[in-house]
Amino acid sequence: MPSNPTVKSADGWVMFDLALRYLDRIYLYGAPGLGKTYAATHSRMDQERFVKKQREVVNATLSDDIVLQELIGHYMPKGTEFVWHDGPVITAMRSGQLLVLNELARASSAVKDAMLGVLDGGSTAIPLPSGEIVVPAQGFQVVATANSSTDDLDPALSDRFEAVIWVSTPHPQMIAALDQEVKGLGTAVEASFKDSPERAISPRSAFTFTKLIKAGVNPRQSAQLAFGQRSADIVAAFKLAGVGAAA
Amino acid sequence: MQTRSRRARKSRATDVPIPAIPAGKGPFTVREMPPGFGASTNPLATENTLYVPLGYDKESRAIRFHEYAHLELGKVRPELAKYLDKAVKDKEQPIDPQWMQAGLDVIVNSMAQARHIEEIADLPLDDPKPTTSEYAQAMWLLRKLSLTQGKVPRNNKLPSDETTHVQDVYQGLQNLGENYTHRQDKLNDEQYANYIAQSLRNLQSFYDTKEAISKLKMTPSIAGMTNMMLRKALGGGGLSRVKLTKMLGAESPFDITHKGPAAHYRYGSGTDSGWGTMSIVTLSMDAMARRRAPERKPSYVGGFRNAFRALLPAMDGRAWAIRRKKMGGTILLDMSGSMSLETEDIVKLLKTAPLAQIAGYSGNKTDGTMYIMAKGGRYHNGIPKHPGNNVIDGPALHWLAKQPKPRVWISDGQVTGTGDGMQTHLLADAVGIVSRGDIERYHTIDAYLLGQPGDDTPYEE
Repeated sequence: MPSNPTVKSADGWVMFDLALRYLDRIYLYGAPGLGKTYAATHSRMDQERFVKKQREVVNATLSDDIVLQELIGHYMPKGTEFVWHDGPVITAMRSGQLLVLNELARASSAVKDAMLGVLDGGSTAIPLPSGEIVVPAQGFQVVATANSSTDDLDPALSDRFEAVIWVSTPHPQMIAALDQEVKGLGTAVEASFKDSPERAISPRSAFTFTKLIKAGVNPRQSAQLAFGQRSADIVAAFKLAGVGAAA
Repeated sequence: MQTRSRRARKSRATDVPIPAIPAGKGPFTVREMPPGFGASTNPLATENTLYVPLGYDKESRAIRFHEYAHLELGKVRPELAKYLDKAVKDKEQPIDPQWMQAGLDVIVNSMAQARHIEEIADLPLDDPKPTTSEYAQAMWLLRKLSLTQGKVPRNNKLPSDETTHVQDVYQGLQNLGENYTHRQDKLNDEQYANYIAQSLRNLQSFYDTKEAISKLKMTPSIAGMTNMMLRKALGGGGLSRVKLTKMLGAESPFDITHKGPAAHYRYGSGTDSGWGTMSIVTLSMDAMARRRAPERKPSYVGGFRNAFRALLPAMDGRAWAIRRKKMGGTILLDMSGSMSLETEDIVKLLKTAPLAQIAGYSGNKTDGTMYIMAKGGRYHNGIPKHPGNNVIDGPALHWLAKQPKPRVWISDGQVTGTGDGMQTHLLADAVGIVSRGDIERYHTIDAYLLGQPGDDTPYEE
């Protein structure tokens, strides 16, 4: 089976915004800490097609230990009876919300198999134990995020995504947020991604740095805690680049 | 020959440096350059390559931070390298690439100091020897001032008037370094390059003139000229090599024909020079190295040499003995001017390692010669007359890599190619040959005699 065409370009975030506007099933992958979940969660509110309803985002982070019942739903005891409780997948389907599935590649086989049905597009229909068949309401959209490409997925599952997008730089909103915290920090972090990924500065580490700076810890110690052994190199680069707290 | 102290050669993670932030571009190819070999980056080259030590020790860090400052300068002033290259290749008053490099080092060190990167003070800088030429001492002082924030070091040997002259040039370059952005100094890249060039041109002119005078036979006609020349040079009159040659005619010690390939330095156009052509000359071995019969080393094994010791109540194992192996191997000597080798040094070396094969090399412009000076216990009495540049480090190291082990290279690590130009790819080539050829480098003959290899600087704190 042919694999999904992957969008691999420097403007991955632009392509993601475009895909989010017009497509329903998107696979977004890239190095940890680039803001994939952040982008999937926060970009939703800007989309014209959802403005009227202002629906929320349903977020689920998958792992090998997450069972299908936690995602689809299960009966819970209430007084003397058992009542049905919708899981995040069914909640998002019923109300036409955005479902963000983090780390899809790490999910168990059973969950991945169940996702074949959830991601089936127009013919999606999930039967519940009660006999009810749930079909997605208008606006239902799925964004799956991962660190690796769809090569790690079953071909049938990866084929269900309408777009596979690779991102290699931190999300622009994260850069702006870092710049707002410490002048020039976001720009410096962004510049580090022009080099190979193993030499780039993780935005998560950069946020840790800002957190410590704001707490009054001196820049050198903040850098040591946030960046570890490379802190001296990173601080020197920050100073030369005129990053506020370091300089 | 010394027992070689083998140190595990482990490859280091190239994810330590962070060049993309100061350079504002990428991706970079990071190559490890052991401490003692220097470091470099070329802002004009199409590929971004950074050669730096990768350890976490103070020196390695300082070297990396120095290179970051070079990258930052290249980012803020993208046209600067082009104009500096023009100054180096200027037909009337070309600036020696070594002076240009020293000037740029002062600027980037001052940049780092201005940005409170205190670690830059740990930048390694070898102290000058008594035999170091005056212009090399001046270059050393210029760099040293940028690490001591202008304080003249105690071991400065330059006369006070020359020290003041170097200090003046340092002040100018420091000011340029501290205010390197367009916003700070209001200079465009061409003006900025011109300021650098003018400062260095004056200093170079002074030492060129002084060197020329020292090399000339002091005939009455020339003797009267010397004071005038020096005064003019000190006053910033700028006696270029071209002017000196015109004044002194055929007696000029400078070769300004520029027939060989132009010298390159790392802020050059990115075009590469290669190694020079090497010829090998085996000198007549007219002297016998003084050597004793191979010593016997007392041991618990070997020939039964001392029966009485075997009778000692507390037997110390000295009854038996093994013969030490003959002291062979190969020693390659860098005989360039930067090594400041003297006859006594080489004779001392020859007498200390009598059975080793010893060769020395040096070159000029496009070619050089390697002299086989000792072999099989015999040696050449005296030092062959040789030019003062490197040029053929690569071919000489290739030769060494094929000779009997242990292989020793005594060099300061400043390798050059044709035109005596320092090139990063040549440096990388030399490092590769040393590594693959199982060659141990020693900084000086004294370091070799003391058994202190040149790249034994600790990598980690």
